[in-house]
Amino acid sequence: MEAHEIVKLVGQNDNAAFHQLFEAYYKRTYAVAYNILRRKESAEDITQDAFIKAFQNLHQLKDAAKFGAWLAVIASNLARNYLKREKKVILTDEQPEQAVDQESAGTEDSALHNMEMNRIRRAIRELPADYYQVIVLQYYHDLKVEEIADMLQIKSGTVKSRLFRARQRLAEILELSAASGCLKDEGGGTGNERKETI
Amino acid sequence: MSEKKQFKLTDDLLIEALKLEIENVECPPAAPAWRKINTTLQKKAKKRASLSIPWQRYALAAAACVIIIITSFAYMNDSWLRQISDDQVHLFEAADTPMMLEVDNDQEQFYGRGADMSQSAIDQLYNFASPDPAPPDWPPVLAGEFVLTDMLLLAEGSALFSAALYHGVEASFLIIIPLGEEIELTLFVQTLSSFLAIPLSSTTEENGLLHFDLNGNPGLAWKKGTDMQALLVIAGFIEDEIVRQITRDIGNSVDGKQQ
Repeated sequence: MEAHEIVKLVGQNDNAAFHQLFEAYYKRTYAVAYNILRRKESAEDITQDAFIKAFQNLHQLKDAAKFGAWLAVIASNLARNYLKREKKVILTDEQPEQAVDQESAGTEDSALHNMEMNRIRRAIRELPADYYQVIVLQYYHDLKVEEIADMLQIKSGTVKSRLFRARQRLAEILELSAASGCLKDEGGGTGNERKETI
Repeated sequence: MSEKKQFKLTDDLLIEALKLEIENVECPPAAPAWRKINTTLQKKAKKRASLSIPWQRYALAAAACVIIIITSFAYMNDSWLRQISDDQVHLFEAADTPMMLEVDNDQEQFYGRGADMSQSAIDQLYNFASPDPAPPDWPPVLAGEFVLTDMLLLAEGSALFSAALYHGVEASFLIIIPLGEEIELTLFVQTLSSFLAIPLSSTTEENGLLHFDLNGNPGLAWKKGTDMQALLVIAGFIEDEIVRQITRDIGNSVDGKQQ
């Protein structure tokens, strides 16, 4: 959805607009919640709560064009709080990894690329929730450090340090997985547990 | 250089991996989820509406009461002021007070470009002034809309000036007298400017009256024997006709050189 359409719908602030925004953002909001919780039912509940909270507090959104990122923040915060509340490692119902770039799967290069992708995706799943949150906001929603700080209501320095540590952690996980020969297939590493850092 | 390239590549891969993670998630059907969200939103909206109706009624009733009270007060206050004003106008018509100031066109302009009326100007004054616990009996009751609201002491260690603060609808001004030893009129105005920390923009002496300007605030100082007074507009505009009236009032207590 184009930025001007999002701005228009956010400004419209009625049921029809909410429905269109829901249709546009349901999948990725669910994905953010699911990637933190790794449980379908909890992720579904959190996603619904996130939309309700967002629609009821739409007046608090500073930049309507950033609705998607704002919703992701709400969903990831709710998911993180859910994890804290549960105070336990959640048993996950991991989805099978979907094939990457099916069209070019035949070539050797693309096979290597797919393996690399799978490794990174597994590493992302092992990130703590607050690291995952900033990584998603910066790399997926393309937000600046200051914008992330504003949305999460934390200092820019904290965002920077979380981003640095997240990247460091990813590098460590990727190094470990390479060292233990996990490069070869999808079976290595559980990657199933998301913990809340303290 | 190669490290930089590697790092950029990792960022690209990270973005790609995140896109796959987020956009390829197997998602439960949207329709039931939307139904639940919609139902919850409607329930909450109804709840809010039912809660807001009594609140709005109370708010409307309270607002109506406030409007009635303010209107009545304003009406009573206006009648009272008008009565005082009429009495004073009558008094001054009867009294044969000397005309202290001839206001020419320049002066009309002078008083017409007073500083904007703002509460901050008055608040600022109180940074330098404190209420006078034992005010002297000098400030005159002025005709027209101006009401004496406060007697102030402008002190820095020892008291330097005594001031009477008058408020009207369109302007506020001070009538100030120095409390120290006898000084020149210009020095009086300079000391006042320095004390209030407002730069003295200009002074013009004419017929024993010193017109001055404290950074856009027009003022007028004059001497009666050894006594001095100054009128300083601190906010708003004073029309020349009203200045005439004020100077007539003050003319009871000071001498001005008449033309």
